[in-house]
Amino acid sequence: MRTFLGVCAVFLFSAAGQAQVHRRPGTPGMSGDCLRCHATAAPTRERHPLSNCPRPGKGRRSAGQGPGAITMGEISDQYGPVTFSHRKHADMAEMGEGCVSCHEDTDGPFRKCAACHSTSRRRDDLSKPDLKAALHRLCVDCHLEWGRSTECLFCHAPKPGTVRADSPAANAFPKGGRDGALPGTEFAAPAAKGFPRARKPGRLVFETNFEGGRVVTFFHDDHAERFGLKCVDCHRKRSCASCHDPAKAGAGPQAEAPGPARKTASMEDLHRPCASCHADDSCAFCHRDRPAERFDHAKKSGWPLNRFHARLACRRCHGAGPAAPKPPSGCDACHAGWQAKFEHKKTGAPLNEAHRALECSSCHGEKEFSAPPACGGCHEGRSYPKDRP
Amino acid sequence: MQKLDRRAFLKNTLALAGAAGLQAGTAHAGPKNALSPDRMGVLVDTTVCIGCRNCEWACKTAHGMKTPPIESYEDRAVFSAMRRPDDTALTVVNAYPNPRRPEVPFTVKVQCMHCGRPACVSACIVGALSKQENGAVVWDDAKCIGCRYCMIACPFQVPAFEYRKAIEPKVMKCDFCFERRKQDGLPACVETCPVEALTFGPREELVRVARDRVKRRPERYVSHVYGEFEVGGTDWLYLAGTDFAGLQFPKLGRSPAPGVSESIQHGIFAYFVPPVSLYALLGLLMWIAKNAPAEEGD
Repeated sequence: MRTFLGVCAVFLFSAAGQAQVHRRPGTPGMSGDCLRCHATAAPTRERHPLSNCPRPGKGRRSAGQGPGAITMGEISDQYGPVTFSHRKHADMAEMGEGCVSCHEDTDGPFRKCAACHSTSRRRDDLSKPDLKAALHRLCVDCHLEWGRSTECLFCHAPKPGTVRADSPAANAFPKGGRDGALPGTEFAAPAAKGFPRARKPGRLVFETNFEGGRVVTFFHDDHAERFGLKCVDCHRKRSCASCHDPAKAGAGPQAEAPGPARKTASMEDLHRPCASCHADDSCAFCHRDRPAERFDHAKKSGWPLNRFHARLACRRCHGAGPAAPKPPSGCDACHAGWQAKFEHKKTGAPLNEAHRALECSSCHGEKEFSAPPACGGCHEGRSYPKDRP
Repeated sequence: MQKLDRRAFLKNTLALAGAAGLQAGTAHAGPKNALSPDRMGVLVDTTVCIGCRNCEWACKTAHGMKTPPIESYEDRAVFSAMRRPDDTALTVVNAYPNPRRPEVPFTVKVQCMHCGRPACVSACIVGALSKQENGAVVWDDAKCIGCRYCMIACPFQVPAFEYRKAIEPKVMKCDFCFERRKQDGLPACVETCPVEALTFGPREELVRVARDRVKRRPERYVSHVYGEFEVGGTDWLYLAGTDFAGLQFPKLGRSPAPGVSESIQHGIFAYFVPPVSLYALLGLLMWIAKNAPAEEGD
């Protein structure tokens, strides 16, 4: 009797689940995309096999939604558990395929890997790798590419009583896991383990075949550090080793010598990363006859940046988007009430006795401080910044 | 190795020859059930292999051979030179350049292919090598006389000889972990592989799995399951992302390696008719020659 009730309960629950699945918005009746869940394109009431990983859609996820560090150790026999910095990897994956670089599908709740992959190597279904292999393949595919190494102890902690417990590498392993990481926390990239920091080029000079200007100069460091761009804003579908290359790690700013632009990429592909910001600029903005000089705030604006301002990203003063000639956020954002204790020499242009006595508006017409001051009102033929007060 | 004395060996040989003469028409290499459809094999996916060489370590450990500590196998400098299985290593992993991903070379594990119709078994004159029902081609040290014909016969040049040993040298080759599998264990290399580049299972199932992988990922694999038909089919099968010739796999025909030699042996010498006929002919000539001078002398 109890068994019968159990069977009934299971039947009811599964029927309810099915109804819920089929009553989803966007799939009225059963006319949705059957292959989303079913192994066949035309499931019938009698025959409706589910595919290996059915997952009703619940919207896409972003990397930030995932967990921080997670500990994986259910199947480890030779080693201690692995602490995996999930969020860091998810961030990197954004430059590649996203969540699906590791997860089967990003829709809905993820299934446990073990739901499909057997924990035993001796099994009947050989079409899928077992759990140990499935997990290792995901990690090693990238780790081998940038690390050129298959060192197990890079990720695994050694376990007492196993073959690796006595190896020198195991003794060098910090107690309590790598970098003392605890579950749920992030940890720094293990530089001591040979993890190559991302290569950050300084000035890149490309040779193109554009008639109006063959040389394009790109200041990678300025874009990455000052203009506030993230790697993923420009780099998509790149291999790990293209940035994390141990052969080139620590080389610092490089590629100063002119190099040809990638010949294989189409014109659209070459311009896409730049077009989102430089859409309104003319060709000559980038295409010149000779390598461009680095942007110099003092030369362009006549206002040299002091050591505090030099460190700021452009948008801290000039707002988001392409650097506007006038700082829309003004100085008030950081320097509230600056007028009260203003000293003119802080702008980089100390005033002499004669000028100090003047009203601000005598030189800065209508208190428009971003524009160069007008010297011509008093001094014939003089101009700033050529002439200093 | 030489447990038999000369007399016993000759006696055995004569007895075998007699038996062979009686049933020459049905003679086959190894036991009759060697090609049972449910024999086991291994599918080696070289596109999955990461070249960690844990299989080399596991093989040596499982066979009680001398080995350096496992972490020394992480040294990838060995890939600079091509290696072959020898008497100190029954399996080795080699690396080949990968033009699509230069950082990740193709890595290929090499060991005995465990042919369905093994040339070594056919060439062995004392039956020291045999094809087992579970797919393994194994070597019996009690029978081997050290002639090393198996080494010449093997189309993959796998069997190695312990030249460094003066006393009881052995023929060394992968035995598909025959002893471990008797206790229902997996082959040591298959068990240790961290990425399951080696899939152990019934050969027929592995062929199906291999073809399925090629079909699903045509950009990843060349459409060729090495060993499916080579030398009549081998129980170890290979998948690759580049032409097998580039990975130093020998280009072999579909007919079993012992086919030609066995048809000569079992055809010309069948039932001892040709040697008996030859000796009869010679005897007849001698008899004629013996009688001829007597006629001339008259």
